[in-house]
Amino acid sequence: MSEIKKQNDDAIMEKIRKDLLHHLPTRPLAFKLWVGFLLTIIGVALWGYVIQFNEGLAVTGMRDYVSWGLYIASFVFFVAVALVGMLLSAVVGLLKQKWITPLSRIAEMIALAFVMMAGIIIVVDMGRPERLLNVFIYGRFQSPIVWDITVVQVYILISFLLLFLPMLPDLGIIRNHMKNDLPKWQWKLYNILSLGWVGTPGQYKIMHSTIRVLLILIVPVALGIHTVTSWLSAMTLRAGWDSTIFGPYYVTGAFVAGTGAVAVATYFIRRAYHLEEYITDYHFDKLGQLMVLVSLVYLYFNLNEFWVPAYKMKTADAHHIHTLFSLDGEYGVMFYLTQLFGLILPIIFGLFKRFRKPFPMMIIGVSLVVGAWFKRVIIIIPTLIHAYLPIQNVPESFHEYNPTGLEITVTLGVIAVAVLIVTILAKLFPVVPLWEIAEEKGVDIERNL
Amino acid sequence: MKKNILNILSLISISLLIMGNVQAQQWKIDDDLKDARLKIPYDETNIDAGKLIYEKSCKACHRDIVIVDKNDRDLPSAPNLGNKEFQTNNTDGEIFCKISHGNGAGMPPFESQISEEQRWQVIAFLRSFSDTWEAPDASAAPVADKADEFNGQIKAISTSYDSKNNSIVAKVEAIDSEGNTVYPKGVKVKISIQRGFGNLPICDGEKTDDNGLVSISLNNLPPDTAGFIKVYAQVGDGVVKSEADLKISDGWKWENPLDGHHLWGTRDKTPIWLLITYLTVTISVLLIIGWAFFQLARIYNLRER
Repeated sequence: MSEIKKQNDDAIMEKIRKDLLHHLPTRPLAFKLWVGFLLTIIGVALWGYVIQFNEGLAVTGMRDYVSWGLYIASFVFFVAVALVGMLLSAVVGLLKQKWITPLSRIAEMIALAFVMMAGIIIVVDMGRPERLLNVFIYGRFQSPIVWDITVVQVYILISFLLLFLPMLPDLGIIRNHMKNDLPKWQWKLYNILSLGWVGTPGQYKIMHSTIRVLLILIVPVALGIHTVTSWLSAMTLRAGWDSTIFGPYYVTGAFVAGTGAVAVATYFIRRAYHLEEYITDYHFDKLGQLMVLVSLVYLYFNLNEFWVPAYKMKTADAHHIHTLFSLDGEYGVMFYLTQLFGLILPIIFGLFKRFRKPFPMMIIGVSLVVGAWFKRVIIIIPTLIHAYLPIQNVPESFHEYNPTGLEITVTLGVIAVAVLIVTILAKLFPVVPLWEIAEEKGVDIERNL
Repeated sequence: MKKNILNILSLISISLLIMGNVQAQQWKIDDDLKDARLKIPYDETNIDAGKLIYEKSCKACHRDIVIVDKNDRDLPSAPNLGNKEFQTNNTDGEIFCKISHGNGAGMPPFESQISEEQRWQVIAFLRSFSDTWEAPDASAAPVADKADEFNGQIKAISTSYDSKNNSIVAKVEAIDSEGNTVYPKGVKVKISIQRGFGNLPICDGEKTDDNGLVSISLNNLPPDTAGFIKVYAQVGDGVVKSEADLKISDGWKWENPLDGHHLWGTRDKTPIWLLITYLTVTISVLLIIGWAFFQLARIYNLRER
């Protein structure tokens, strides 16, 4: 390599390091306030959970008939959002879409945080969490619940690897250049995590081949995790769940929720760490296009999921659909608002280029994510209220589901933990992959950068 | 004021019209039958025949007949025909017409399904629940057929299995007025067989033949797994009765659906194909992940020493 090229490369690297690593040592007030805010929610939720742990699930609004409440709805939501890791890194990445480079790590951070919380909230939903081990000891291989546990854990492992492996070159860079800028513990952390990365062709070769295998592996695993999650419902005979398209319906819904979450996270991280030069309007434009695409597919599945049973109006389905379609029904208003803000409006706005800019995309993202959460509530709870057998000889409170304040607090707490994990990951590690940016700028990266 | 009266009048006439419509759902009584009395002999044969028809065609709605003062059943259940109001307020002919034509609402017409004689037999059976009703003429035989009735004391009833005809045979034993053991004819016998949810009557009032025997075919009634059925037999009002475990076959093996490998079984009974699929997929994926972790170690081994 010529000396000029090397000096040129070094200059580019210098700038990239300055732009993308400057947030590692700093702890600005806004960051502290944000973490403090999240910790407060988590603290209150923890207190609520201790009450629930001692008193049992009776402190929630769940009763005999509605035994899956906000917790399980949130579980489905977490799994859904976590799927974006697979969508952005694997599907879009394997299609060789270059625009994904600065967004893929954010997507993986969201995936890891949310899928871990999906596991946690299942434990929160258990009346006797100390018996968790029994699920493993006595679980039946015939049960979708066992498949779900398996696939969630596998997805956690793959998400971790897909976050960690492409970060190795960046960790090497931090280790090499930031020893004096960082607190000792933090530098040691990077030193250990970098696994002695020196950027030899051999190391790159191993990294690339491993990532490629994992990217291919994560596609069926991610489809599996959400399809199995849908089977938890769809393998029953209940009206509203007894559907053959539940798997793809969930998966496409997950893509919608995930792109929304990435839009929101990217917007705030970009602002906080001044990444405007690396995450540009172009990226939001592309993300917006992807959002419209997956939302249209989801709309198509929604059409099938509601119009087909609504046309036939089988007795039990008719009861179920009435609660959703009629404004007098228990979930009518929520249903229309969710479909409007969680699907229709984002598609309409997303069609116009002027709304595929960072700020509008963030608003659309919030609308999508909140809509996605309520959509999961609508999928899970109304079905449980309309059991096939008449609900009789039970207390009045069994007839409907009203989540208690404690339940809402604990749910918010778990969501806050997920957001906190994303916040900390984005603070501790470079959000935009340095080496991939450098590679795009023509820097020869196969050396100790 | 005048207008008001007109209004009221029109209201009344409309009400009457509506009521007229309701009246349309009413019993149709033929004039020539209005005062008719039972046209067949009131005897045991007819009562028993009526009972069989009642159980086949009427009981689904009218259920068991219980003697009460007033009808004690609400819709959708049809009235209890043992209520005294029904029994005293209806002539035999009226009941006949009601069975024949129905009322255009809940009670369907039966004239095309039950013959005229059978309808009278049902009425004879219904009247057996009335203590005030009197049979039309003295020439009709009274309830019991005295000529056939056995004079003596019934001692025992026993049951056995007739494998040739696949039937249950009940034998009645009695002592006549001279103290000899005899096998009386014309004694009513009831037989039932124990089933999972109560006893199944297979014979309700059949009479013994010349040898004091009643034989009832079992058709393909299944025994328990050891080949036994439990048979209860009694004579008449149930003073003499017996129960017996009769072996009717070599038994059979019950196959518990939980024993096989099924989706609904316990974990030990996981279908093999499912277990293999689950383990293959899970282990393969875990092996790939394990391989990926191993690659991390390889990267570490390539570090600058």
